[in-house]
Amino acid sequence: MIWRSSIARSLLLALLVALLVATFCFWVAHTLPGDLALRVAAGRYPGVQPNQALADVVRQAYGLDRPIFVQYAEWLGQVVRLDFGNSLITGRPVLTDVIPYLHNSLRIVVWGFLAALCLAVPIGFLCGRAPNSRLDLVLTALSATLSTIPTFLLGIFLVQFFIVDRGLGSLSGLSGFARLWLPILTIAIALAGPLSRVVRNAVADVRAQPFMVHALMRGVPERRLFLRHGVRNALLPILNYLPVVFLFLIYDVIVIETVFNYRGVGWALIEAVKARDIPVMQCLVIMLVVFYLVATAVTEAITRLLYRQDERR
Amino acid sequence: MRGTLVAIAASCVVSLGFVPIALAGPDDDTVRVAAPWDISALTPSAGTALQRMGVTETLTRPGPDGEIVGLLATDWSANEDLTEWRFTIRDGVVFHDGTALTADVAAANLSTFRAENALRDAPISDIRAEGDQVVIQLERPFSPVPAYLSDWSTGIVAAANLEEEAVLTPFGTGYYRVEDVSDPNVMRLAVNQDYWGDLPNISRAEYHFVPDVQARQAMIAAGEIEFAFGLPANAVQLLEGADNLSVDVQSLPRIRALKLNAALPPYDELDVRRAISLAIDRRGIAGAIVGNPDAAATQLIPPTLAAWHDTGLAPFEFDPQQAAALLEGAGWAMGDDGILVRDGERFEMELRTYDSRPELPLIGVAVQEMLRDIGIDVSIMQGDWSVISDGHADGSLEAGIISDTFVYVPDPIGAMAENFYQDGGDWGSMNWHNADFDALVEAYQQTADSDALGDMRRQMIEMIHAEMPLVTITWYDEVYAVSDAVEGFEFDVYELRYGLDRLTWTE
Repeated sequence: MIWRSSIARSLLLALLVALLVATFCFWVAHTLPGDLALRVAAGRYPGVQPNQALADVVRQAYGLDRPIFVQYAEWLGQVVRLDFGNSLITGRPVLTDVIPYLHNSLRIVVWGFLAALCLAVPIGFLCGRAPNSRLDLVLTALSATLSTIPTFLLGIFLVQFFIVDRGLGSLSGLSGFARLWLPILTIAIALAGPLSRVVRNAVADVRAQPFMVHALMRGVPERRLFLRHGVRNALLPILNYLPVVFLFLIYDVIVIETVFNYRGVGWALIEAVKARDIPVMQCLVIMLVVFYLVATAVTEAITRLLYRQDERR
Repeated sequence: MRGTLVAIAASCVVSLGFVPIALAGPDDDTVRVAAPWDISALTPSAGTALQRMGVTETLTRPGPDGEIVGLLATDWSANEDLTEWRFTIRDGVVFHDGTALTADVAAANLSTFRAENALRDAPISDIRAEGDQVVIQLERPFSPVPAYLSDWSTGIVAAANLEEEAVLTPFGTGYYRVEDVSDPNVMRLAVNQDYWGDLPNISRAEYHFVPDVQARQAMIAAGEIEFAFGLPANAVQLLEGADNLSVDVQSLPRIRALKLNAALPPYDELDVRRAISLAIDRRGIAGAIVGNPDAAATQLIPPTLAAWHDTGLAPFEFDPQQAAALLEGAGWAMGDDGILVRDGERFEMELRTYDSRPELPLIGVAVQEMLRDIGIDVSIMQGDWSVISDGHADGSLEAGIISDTFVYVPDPIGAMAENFYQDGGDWGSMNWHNADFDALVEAYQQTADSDALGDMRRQMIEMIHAEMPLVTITWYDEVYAVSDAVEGFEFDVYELRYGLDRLTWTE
């Protein structure tokens, strides 16, 4: 019962925050300097120089000349019915245009996140097991380097090195290993740097706990000891750090999809902002916020589930 | 534990290292084009992709020498005072949905999209069908109607598309039909077996909207596409080492120019505008920034549009000394800080520029330095393209570096009317008034006699050359790369078609 109300509360919070963020974007898009209709016309009619005649066509077609409160009320009324309206650029229903982007993004995000875990956990574990050792110093330096390289630079380097120079990948299409492995690797490298440091510190802290030191001194095999008591304790700071990872993920996806010409949510968001395609922009922002809040809520739920007994104590 | 984790990590890295690569090319009989122009809405009036890829067709088209010839219309005629035009629709043409092209459908297309396509600038009072003819009624004589109907934006689609609120699959009459456009950025096409003309040799085609120039460059270098358009000037050097493609440079009827607000002093003075023109080293800019010294403008329109290029005109000069003399004659004296002063006012200019064409801000900086040399203090305001259009609309623009084409209607009279007629246009002159020029534009639109038209063209170009409402800096080159896998490509300077129907795979 408590769980059910907790989930409901989290969902309600997610929707409320998404709505607030989207509302903020709506007002920002409408209050930016310049003629909104002219900008939309430039996106909708990309073959001609933007001009007032086309801006007037757009203004009338989408009612952009109505009072902004009327437009906001109409948008809000549609959104609560899960109707995001039509794209101002393609004219198609927003969800028709956006769902393929979401599908594409999830494909690289999920695999990128898993690949990041595959890199970060072993590296962090090895470093945490022997803190301040030579291996720790080398891997720490590597992680710090990877963490500080801007993702777009890393992406541009990987494109040049693997795709242009060696033909080991593709920049067109949306599926297939040749297309996906490099964006996935970029996400993995970008996330693995900071994540491996969290794992390293968590493992080192657990190993320094008196009960671990005592057990090791008594000759309990390290592997058994760590699996039975260490993992559970080391997992808590990692789980607590995951919401930060999800924030990184959103930022990285926007950059990586642009560099790799990968048509996901991040790529579409940049294009929608450039063209002031407000309905598409709103929908994508809501998606990103919901993704972050849901992922964070799931992490919190897992944390509670694992450490429920500790809370009761 | 350690062994397991290391094995997992190693397997990830190793498995990522071996990648099956599927390159484009003759194997799947698909020609792929990557361009920076959005597909946008799937209506002919929205984006150029449908027309360029051979999905839609227009009633007329420009021939190799710029003369207008028939496409979906076989012939046309006008009444004596050029206020009524009749276009006979080609028989036996079917749309991709199997319905027949009729005069009714063609007229309905032109009426439906009239506010959005090139016809918005034509003085049309009525469009209707009569038998197998489309009849266009005009409020006043208007000779360039056939040219307006060859613009990409007047492409014809099936009646079913006209009834849709949002077109999901456009049905044109061209040699390729749309097979899949579920991804709004990729258009997959297959050959239209019922095409009325010659079928293309390559059975499939794809259009990729790729806004990032680096991505387009990387795609052609990696052999993933056969055509990459809109490359930067340095692509010639960057792709020099690639052995699977060629990079070509094609002069286009497009210009980069300095737009001046002729309502604001001192730009309302002809000598000041002339001095500014004389102070600009066009050849230096063209060589250093555009990558081709021959792109330096000698007059408004490049030789690509031979009918509008006056070979007898004296080319623009670079002469800072003469520029200084002109300014001195206009009452300007050099101040202590090296900036000209007149009646206590320093000669300051706010120069706006935008970055959607990446070379424009660089040209802005070069012009800033050149004008500084003759004593004009230029400050640069950079933004996106709206700094020009907004500044033109509210009158706040002083000067701006712009780029514009002269063939968005294949007859440049469309651009001349929009850019220089009366108050000018967003991407042309600003507040420059010349009654003789306006009369010439009006007379041109009402004349069908080719000799008279030629004479009027020459006079219009001479007036702009002499009065400099717009200081033309460089002409424009389209830099594009073509894979060696295809042959038979010819660049269309009107940018209306890629000519995919003429391509064959290299033996």
